[in-house]
Amino acid sequence: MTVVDVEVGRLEGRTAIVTGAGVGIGRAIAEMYAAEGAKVVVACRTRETGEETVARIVAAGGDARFVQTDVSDEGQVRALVEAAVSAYGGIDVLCNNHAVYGIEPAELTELTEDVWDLTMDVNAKGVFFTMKHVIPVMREGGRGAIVNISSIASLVKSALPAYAASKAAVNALTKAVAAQAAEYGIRANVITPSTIETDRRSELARTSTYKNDFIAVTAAEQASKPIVSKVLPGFGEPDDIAYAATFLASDEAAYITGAILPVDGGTTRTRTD
Amino acid sequence: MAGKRLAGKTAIVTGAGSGIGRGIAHRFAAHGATVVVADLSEDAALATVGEIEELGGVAVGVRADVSQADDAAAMAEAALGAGGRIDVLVNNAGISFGDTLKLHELDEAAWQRILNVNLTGVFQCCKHVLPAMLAQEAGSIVNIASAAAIGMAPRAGYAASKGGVVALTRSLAFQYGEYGIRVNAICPGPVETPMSNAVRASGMYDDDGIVDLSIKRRGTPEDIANAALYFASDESRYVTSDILPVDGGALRLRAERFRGR
Repeated sequence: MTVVDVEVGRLEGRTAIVTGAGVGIGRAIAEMYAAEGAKVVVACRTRETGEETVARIVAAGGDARFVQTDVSDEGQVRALVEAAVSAYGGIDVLCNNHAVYGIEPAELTELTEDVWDLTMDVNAKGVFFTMKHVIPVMREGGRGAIVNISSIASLVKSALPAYAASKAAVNALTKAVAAQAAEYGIRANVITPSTIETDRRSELARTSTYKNDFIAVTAAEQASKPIVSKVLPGFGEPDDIAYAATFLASDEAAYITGAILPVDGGTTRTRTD
Repeated sequence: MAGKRLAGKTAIVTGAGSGIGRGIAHRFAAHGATVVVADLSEDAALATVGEIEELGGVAVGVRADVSQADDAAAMAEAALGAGGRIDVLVNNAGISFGDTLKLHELDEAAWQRILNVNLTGVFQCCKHVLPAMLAQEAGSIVNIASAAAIGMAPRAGYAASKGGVVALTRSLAFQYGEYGIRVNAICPGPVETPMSNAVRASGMYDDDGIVDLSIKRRGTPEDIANAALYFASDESRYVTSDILPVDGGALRLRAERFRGR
């Protein structure tokens, strides 16, 4: 739910690609970007949910279109970027929100090479591919803002080693791009969410066997018997990430690049790792 | 701009008579906040208030030495008088004059003065504002620390004081999170302000700048004010204990520029 009237036009006239935008955090980001005036290209693997995000944006008076994309496939990423440029003329904002999460076993010793590769291919290589193909377009336009959605897992002793490694890769990729692409007017930053209520998270809380308080508890359980060590009460919502993603994508963050912005109710800092 | 992201809120900004603080006060007022402009110089505070009012905003000026408990208490009282509540406290007041490039040449009085304003000042303002925020069960404290607190920094007194602000930020986030009070810090890199210009004019640093940056310009007060606005508004309601560098993507401190100084 939005708590602040966002219609201030912070992304007026901008074109944004948001990946993983069919559900959850990605959908919230796509909707808020559109509400702030951006034309949004919704990219994800599932047509039904991607088109639903577009429909919601259009119903709210925004401009969006869907391009079915598996970001781990370079050809599909190339086609995504071409479609965005063809539709809207350029790209000003790239938000990499896609991820596979909670697909690995509870023990590293049971992790298969296939699951490791899938995790890396989607979470890390997918971010490489989108940045690789969007940056030349941003260079041409003389400006760009990249916002990559990472995870608290990238910063602490996570229960998901492959996921954590993939998100740590995203952090390092983003910082390197921040340094490399600054001369073209392109900024790149990371958001590390934790304890954000989404359907995926609720699903994992019901089914997972992970030895980790972050994943195995729902907001309702946390409210009745605190398990996760965090300082702000309650869990976050997708809009909390969307607000941060809007700030970092806009000119308000013109002097911010290579930074990590946790949106996590203080969870990262209660960790001593 | 249609939305006012601080509509209905009362915000205290210390050191708002000039530089970053003045920029923050303006930004907040533009977004609908009633701003308490606090500064060591009453004239400077009132000048900022006048500018804000001319632009249609609401502000009151308060003379305050943040390192003094009585002044911090009076500042909090003034805020409650102006708006009936204190939603945001921006601890921006800070000094660096008297600091040196070699610790053993640093005068103890200068060390103490820098700590008094930069660190004890944050303690005093937080101490006297937190009761109101506790009663409201809501509040956002934004501490303006410095990039000096993150990497190595040439001036030890300033670095120590700002490092203290960062640690204080994390501890306060821990202490007050359960009450709905958020505490975050911004670490500015080089920013174009009267204070930083005075340091450059003193000859302490070369004109080339002391840090390699990704974004090759100095920051502006507006760059910092925008980050302060994000942390002050309810948009960041799930954010606490963050330490955010607003520093042009700083890469490295040029050690060779300090050799022999």
